[in-house]
Amino acid sequence: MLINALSVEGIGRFAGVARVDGFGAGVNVLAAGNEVGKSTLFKAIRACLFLRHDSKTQELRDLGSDDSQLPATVELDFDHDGRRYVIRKSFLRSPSAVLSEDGREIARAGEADKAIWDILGMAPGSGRSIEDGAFGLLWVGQGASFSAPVPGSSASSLLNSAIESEVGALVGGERARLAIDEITGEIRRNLTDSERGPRSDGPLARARERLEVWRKAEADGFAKVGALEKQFSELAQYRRRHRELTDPAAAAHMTRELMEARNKLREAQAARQEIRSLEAETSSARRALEGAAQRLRQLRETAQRVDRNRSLEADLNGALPGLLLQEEEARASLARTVEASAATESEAKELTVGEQHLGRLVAAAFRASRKDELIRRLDALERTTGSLTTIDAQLTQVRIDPETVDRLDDLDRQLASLDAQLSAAAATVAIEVGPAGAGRVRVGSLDVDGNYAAAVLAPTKITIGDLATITVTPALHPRHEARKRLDVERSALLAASGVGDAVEAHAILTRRRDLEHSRRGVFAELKGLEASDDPAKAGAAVRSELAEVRAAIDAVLTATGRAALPGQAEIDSERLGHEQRRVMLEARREKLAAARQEHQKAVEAAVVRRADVSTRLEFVRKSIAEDLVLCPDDDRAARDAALVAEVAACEATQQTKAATLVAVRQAAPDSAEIERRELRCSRLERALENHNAELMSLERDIGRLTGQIQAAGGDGVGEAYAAAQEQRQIAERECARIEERIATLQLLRDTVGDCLAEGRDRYYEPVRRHLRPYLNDLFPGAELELGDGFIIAGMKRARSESFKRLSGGTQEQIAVLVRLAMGTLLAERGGNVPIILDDALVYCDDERINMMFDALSRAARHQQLIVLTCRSRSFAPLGGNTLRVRTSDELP
Amino acid sequence: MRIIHSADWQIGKVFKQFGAKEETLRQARLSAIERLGVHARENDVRHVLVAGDVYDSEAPSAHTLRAPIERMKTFGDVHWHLLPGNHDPYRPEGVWDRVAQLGVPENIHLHLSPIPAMLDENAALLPAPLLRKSEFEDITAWMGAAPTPPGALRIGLAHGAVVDFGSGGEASNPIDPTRAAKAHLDYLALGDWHRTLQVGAKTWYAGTPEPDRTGGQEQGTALLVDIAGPGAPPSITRLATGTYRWVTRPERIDNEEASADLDRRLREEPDLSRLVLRLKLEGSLPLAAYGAFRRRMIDLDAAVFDLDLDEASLVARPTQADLEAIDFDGVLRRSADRLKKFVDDSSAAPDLRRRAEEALVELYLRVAGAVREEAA
Repeated sequence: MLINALSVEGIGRFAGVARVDGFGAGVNVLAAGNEVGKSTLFKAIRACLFLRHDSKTQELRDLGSDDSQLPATVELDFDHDGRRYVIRKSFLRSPSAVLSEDGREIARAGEADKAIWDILGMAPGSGRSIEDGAFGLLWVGQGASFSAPVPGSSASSLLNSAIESEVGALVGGERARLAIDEITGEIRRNLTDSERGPRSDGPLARARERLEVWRKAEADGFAKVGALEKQFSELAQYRRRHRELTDPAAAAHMTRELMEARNKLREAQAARQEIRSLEAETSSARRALEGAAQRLRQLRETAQRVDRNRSLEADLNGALPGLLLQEEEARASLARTVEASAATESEAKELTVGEQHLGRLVAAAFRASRKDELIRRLDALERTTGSLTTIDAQLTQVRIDPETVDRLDDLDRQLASLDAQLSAAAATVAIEVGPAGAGRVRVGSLDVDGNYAAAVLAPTKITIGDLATITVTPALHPRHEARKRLDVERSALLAASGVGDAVEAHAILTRRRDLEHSRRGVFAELKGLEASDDPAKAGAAVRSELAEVRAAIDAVLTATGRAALPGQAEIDSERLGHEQRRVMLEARREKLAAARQEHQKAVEAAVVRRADVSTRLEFVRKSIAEDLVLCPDDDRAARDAALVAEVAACEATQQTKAATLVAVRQAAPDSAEIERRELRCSRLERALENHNAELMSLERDIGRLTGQIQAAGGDGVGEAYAAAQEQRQIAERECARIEERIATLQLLRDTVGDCLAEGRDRYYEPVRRHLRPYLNDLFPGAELELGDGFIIAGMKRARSESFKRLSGGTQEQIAVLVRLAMGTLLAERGGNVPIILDDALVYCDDERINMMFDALSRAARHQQLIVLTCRSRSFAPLGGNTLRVRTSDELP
Repeated sequence: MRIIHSADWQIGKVFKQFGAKEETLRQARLSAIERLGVHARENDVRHVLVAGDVYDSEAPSAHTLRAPIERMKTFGDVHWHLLPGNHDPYRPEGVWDRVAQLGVPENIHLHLSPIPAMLDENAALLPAPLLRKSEFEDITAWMGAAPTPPGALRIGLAHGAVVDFGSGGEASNPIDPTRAAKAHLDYLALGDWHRTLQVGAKTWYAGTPEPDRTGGQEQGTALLVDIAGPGAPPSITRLATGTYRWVTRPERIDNEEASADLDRRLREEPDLSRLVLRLKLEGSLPLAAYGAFRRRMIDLDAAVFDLDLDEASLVARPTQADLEAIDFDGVLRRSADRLKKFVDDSSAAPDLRRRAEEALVELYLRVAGAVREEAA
């Protein structure tokens, strides 16, 4: 097919007639700006060839011009199979279709629609069939160039036909795909889509679940059967042991052995008890013997003691009178010495009284010397106290104090100062008294004679006899007020102090200071008398002490019977006499005391001797009396004989018991033997207890095991285990069967798939061969990998790359190259269909686009190639025929 | 003296591999007891000796425990002498105590200890019960010294494997094959071997009354034993007691004709519906014949009680015609050729070769078999 010309009217922006001409074989380029209507023209060609003229589809309505009242008309002029055809179709309004062949109308209306399809080898139908066919493959609309070509069924048929004409048919390919689909479907019923595991709801998963269930059931059954087996084994052991324990012979033997042991133990214990009894009796007999012997010894000792005491009593009676005489003599000597001592003591008392009197006299004489001093002191106190009283009386009359005087002086100084100031400022009264006025002129109270001049500080009366009285009043000045205040204060101060002026005040103050000086002198004197604090009290104290001294002297004189106190010489003489007498008396007293002590000792010794003899005599007599109670003289022999007989009897009894004890001890088992028998008894009793306890435990265990076994038996665990085993085996076989079936199906599918892929590679070789030159234009050495249905799977350069991972520009370039190759393949097999690319190769860089132009030029050698582009400058190097759109204005 | 010698009832045995048919087989084992009772009455036999393994398990369910007792009760004029075997050894509180606790009637005798029991005034039974599953000593050894009344028959009853008898026995439990002579027995009734077998002049295995496995006896049997008197050789008559025949057939088929012939021969078997059949097949079949063989087997499986096919040694050998039936050329044919090459590769693992063979058959059945079936 070769398009020669295209005319449109009422199509898109072409409301009027527009014609595209300049078509030729090879490359045809329509380069125009956007919105010129390139895509509209592309759609117009498609509609003209493939749509029924009376169709009202949305596609057609979109194609019509909005403002055109005319039908949408398309006329296409093309060559095909050596003939020239013109098809003209009007759509929407007044639809029509006319087809002419080599200038001759051959069909109209619907016939024309079908005729054109027949000519182009297309199945009648809708636009869908267009997409499925070669036109759908080679006519690439705006934006479609980016998509890899996916030939529809019709296009695939065309390609397959083209390929099979070269390499023959791919035999069984469709059956193989169908078989693969079926096998895959069966596998997928069992496995997931990735085939890595069983599908959850598939037969394999269910079989495995069943297998797991039965494995668990088998394990459970195995455990139960094992437990039952163990229980049987335990029960057998327990029963065997139970039989052993309940063996009557063994039990009787054990009981008999225990009874014998107990009997022997009882015998030993009885023997031991008898020995203890005999030992007690022997001991008792020995004690009885010892008692009798003791009593015999005591009787004999008592008799001997009576005899001895009687002899002693006689001796003591003989010694007692002499001792009494010695005692009386000693007592008489002592009495004499006592009397001499009493006389000496009386004399000493008298001496003591004399010494005491002398002492009091000495003291009184001493106090008498104190009395004169007290009298002098009292006089001094009374004199100083009188002076002080006088001074204090005088001081009380002086009311002025130094502060007052100082204040008066200060006021006088201030007044003098003010007066000086006032005088300086005041008017001066100057009077010159003439002789006639002598004595008649008075200023105030002052008689003025001669010249008088004075400052007028206060209203001043000048009396001139009775002639006139002139009062001069100075002008008021603030200092007058101050002076007045000071003057008032001074007057008040003088009045308070009782003085007339400051001189008097100073004189009084001087006197006051003299009195105070005298007073301090009196106090110094009182201090010397130690009475500065209270002279009156001190005087009273001295007077009191003086009275006491006098009374004491009087009392001594009265006591000693003297009229006056002795002198010192007399005192010294009397004191010497007393001392000599005292020495003599002391010597006599010591001598008498030694004699008295000696006599006292002699008396005490005599008394002790006499008392000792008396006491011993009394004791002997008492002892004799007591012993005679125990052993009367007349019964002494009888008692002795009886005790001798008792001792003999006890001795015999004791010997008998001892002999019996020895005999029994020799016959009885010893303690080790008894202990052994006790241990044996304990052991046998414990063994019997253990035996009974074990028996009870065994019976409990047997009962428990019996219950467990019966329960297990009732549950039929053996049968259940066998069933679970078989079920598990069945489940395992089923799993294995399914798995083997899956493996077989996978092997079959993979084998068929591999063979199909190998066949497909061979089958697609013509496509790859046609594609190879185009690919080499852009991607030297590259090979495309094609999948089912001519789908581009990837490109192999240095390595295999997925088509989807290539860049957008590269994908578009490859997609266009594949279309070119398929177009070439079809063209070589008679399917010459123009290739139309509408706004393709958008993302090509400068280098690539030139390579693509080479590829386009290569394709254009086999078939017409129409390129619609808005990039005039970029597509200029493509060359080829330049198509122009001429509207009605440009048409002749 | 006339007795019936039976053994290995194994009541309660499970047959899960038979699925829904399991209960039928379990009931068949109980029916065998009734058949023994009928035989006893018909042959005027008062004593049926069961030489062990009455039960299949030491711990059967309560229903399983009662079922044989109830069957024996219905034959009150027959004395049933039951002996513990290795499947149901006598252990305290075990299955036999449970049976005893049920309150067995007077015509059922449990021989739980090796103590002679008088069958009548002229015959003594010397039972040798197993007290555990596996005994290492000959449990019949005591029979030689066992006292019996003078002139009385001495009949031994035991369960175990005759020494050097081979590996067919299930447990060690050795029994001296000369025990009958050594113990002056007039007959030694043995159990354990699931096949009727004479061991000596007076020593027999009765076999099971209802088979339970392939490879053993095909038909369930018991022995009718006639003993004229002390020292006389016993006269043995086999009695059929089983319902189902358990048949194992090793067959070789290498072509369609052999396959058809096998099918014909099998269908000539009596009582097909009571046939438990195991076919151990060997040979090689063309794919077409193999497909036909499979269809025949599907039909046969519906005809017999149960069919177990062992095809481990049967190989599918595709012929040129088989391969051409898949396709003359193209993808599927190449796939078949490739699989065949794998099958024929003797260096490949057997499992993988077998899988390739299955895949080839699968391919054939999917591609050619379906076509042929449609054509048929």
